[in-house]
Amino acid sequence: MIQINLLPKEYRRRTKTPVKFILAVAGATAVSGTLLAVWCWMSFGVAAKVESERQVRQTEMDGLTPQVAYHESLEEETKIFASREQTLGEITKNRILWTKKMDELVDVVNSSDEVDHFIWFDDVQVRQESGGGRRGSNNFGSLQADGHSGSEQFNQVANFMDDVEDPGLTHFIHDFNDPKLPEGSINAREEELIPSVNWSFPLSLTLRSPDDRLKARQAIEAAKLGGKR
Amino acid sequence: MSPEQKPWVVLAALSTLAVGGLATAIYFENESIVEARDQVAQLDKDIQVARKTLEGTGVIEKEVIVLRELSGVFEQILPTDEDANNLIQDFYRYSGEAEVEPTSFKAKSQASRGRGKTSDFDKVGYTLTLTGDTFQFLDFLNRIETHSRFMSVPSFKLTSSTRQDMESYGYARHKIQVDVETYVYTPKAASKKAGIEGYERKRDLLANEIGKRRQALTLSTFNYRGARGRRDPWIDPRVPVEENPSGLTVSEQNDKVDELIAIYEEATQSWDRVDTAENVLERMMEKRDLVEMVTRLEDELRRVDAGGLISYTPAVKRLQNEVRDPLSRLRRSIEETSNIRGPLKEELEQVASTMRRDVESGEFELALQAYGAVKNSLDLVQGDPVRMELALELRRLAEEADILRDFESIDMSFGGQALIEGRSPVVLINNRALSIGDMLRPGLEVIGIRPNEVDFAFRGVVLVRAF
Repeated sequence: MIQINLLPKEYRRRTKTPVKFILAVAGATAVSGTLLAVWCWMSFGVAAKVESERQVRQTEMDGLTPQVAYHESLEEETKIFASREQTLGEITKNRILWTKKMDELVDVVNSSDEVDHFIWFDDVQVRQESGGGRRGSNNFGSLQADGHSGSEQFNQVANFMDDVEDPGLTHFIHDFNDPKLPEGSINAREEELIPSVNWSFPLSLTLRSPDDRLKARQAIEAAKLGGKR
Repeated sequence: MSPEQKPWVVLAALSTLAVGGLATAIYFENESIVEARDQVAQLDKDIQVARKTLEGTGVIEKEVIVLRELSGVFEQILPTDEDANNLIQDFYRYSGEAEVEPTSFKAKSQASRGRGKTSDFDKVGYTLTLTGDTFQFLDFLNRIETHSRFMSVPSFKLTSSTRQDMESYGYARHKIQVDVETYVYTPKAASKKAGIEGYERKRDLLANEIGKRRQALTLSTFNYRGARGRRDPWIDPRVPVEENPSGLTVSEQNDKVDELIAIYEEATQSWDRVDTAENVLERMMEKRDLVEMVTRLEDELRRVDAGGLISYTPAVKRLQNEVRDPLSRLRRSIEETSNIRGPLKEELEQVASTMRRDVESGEFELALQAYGAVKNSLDLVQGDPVRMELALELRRLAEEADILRDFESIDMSFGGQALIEGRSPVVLINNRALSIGDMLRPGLEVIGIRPNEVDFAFRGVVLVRAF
């Protein structure tokens, strides 16, 4: 059925917005408003605060960056110089003053008026090695000499070795490990010479590590200073 | 769509758009916040790391200052390229100063020291072979090891001189091979130096540390003081069985030869000064000293010969090669340049002085030997009153020495004497009782007898023999 309202316009009942619609609009507005509020809070509250914190940190970091760059350039310089110092330190630490060692050996041979031993050598060979290689080698070098003791008493070889090791006589032994036990063999008698009898013996000494040699040198220096006081 | 539906549709569309738009905005805002927070967290971390890093800046700054100051030490210690090129010049000079004889020098292949191929230290090495005695070698070695730049000797070999070599040359010629190495400092990584504020002030505060580290890098040295009377352990010290009449040991004989060589060297230096003297007076003075030295040396050589002091073959050889032969040449040179005939006044005075000393000490034979050196040239001084007087004195001294030598050689054994008042004294010599006026043997007359002393007339001179 079709209803037709024939009343003039001014007498007709006004059309009301349905409540449902109003509620729907209100709901949509509320949701949108809430979302807008959240967005505003995030944008102008949280984000601004975080940005402010970031800017503070960034400012701080900007202040630190040149200092860090300075530090790094110092570090770089240190690495280069320290490597040079270390290398030069190793070079100088490894060096042995062979004049001193040989002079001390001459002193030992000439000691005790050559009464306790009468020694001479055919040769001497000295070789320094770097040691501490890949296999952990402890070979730092050696001093080898073929010696003679001009006496029938073969215990004079032992007397000589005692003098070699005597720190009161010279500091010769400080750069070497303890020598092997003395050994020797008698040579053919030479009647036309005095003494006619002589014993051959090897003088074989191995070098201590550079660190041990340095410690020994420092100990000697300390003892000297102590003695002076 | 009905008119009633239309608002709903519009409402739904608008709501969807609004919610969707706002949700999207919130989503992106949230993303932005998360990102900003991440950045803050990262910055926090960076700041923390930076602060931690900067905590060590003070220490590292000090270290850089110390190391910068030490870099000068590297340059002082290690040779430059030019120094390395001059090594051979240094070795040559050292060999001359130490009196060793170089026989070869050979460069060793270069290598870098340190990590990687870009090390700042390039090794330079040489193998030298030379001859000399142990003390000469040590002198040479010491000059290398105390070179102002770093040098080290990683190995060497010394083979002693044979007894035959010693006898033919008169001195030891050990065969020596020595490796010498050094490192040339050529900085490859040029670091950019950071500007350190207040560098000089900070450096001054670190002076102690710098000094300590510099000390650790400084090369140790050794003051080699030569042979100091010690025997060369690489010379066979055994002596031949034939006895040395003087009883001098090999070492003492070598010392005696060294002493004579030193006098000869002094004489050659004096001869050089004679050559370079600026005026006649200075030349005369120098020549007088030279003549004195040469005469003294000749006198010493006569003593050596008379006493048989030197019998060890190498010492004999050295004496011949380094004293006798060059001395003869020097003597000839002096005589050739002499513009007056005969020995100089100074020479005659020196001989007279030597003879007087020898006569007084009972060395009559030595006095006669000294006289023998000038005897044949004494006639050349005729016409020079001063030298003639000295020649006369020398002849008188020679005669006196001859008489005394002969008198000394007469064997007398004293048996006793009788000195009784009022009676002629008697002395018992060689089992013969002799009184004043008796002849012990032809030409030797007793002319006086006193307690423990007898006067003799011998060749026109009164001589006393004490018992």
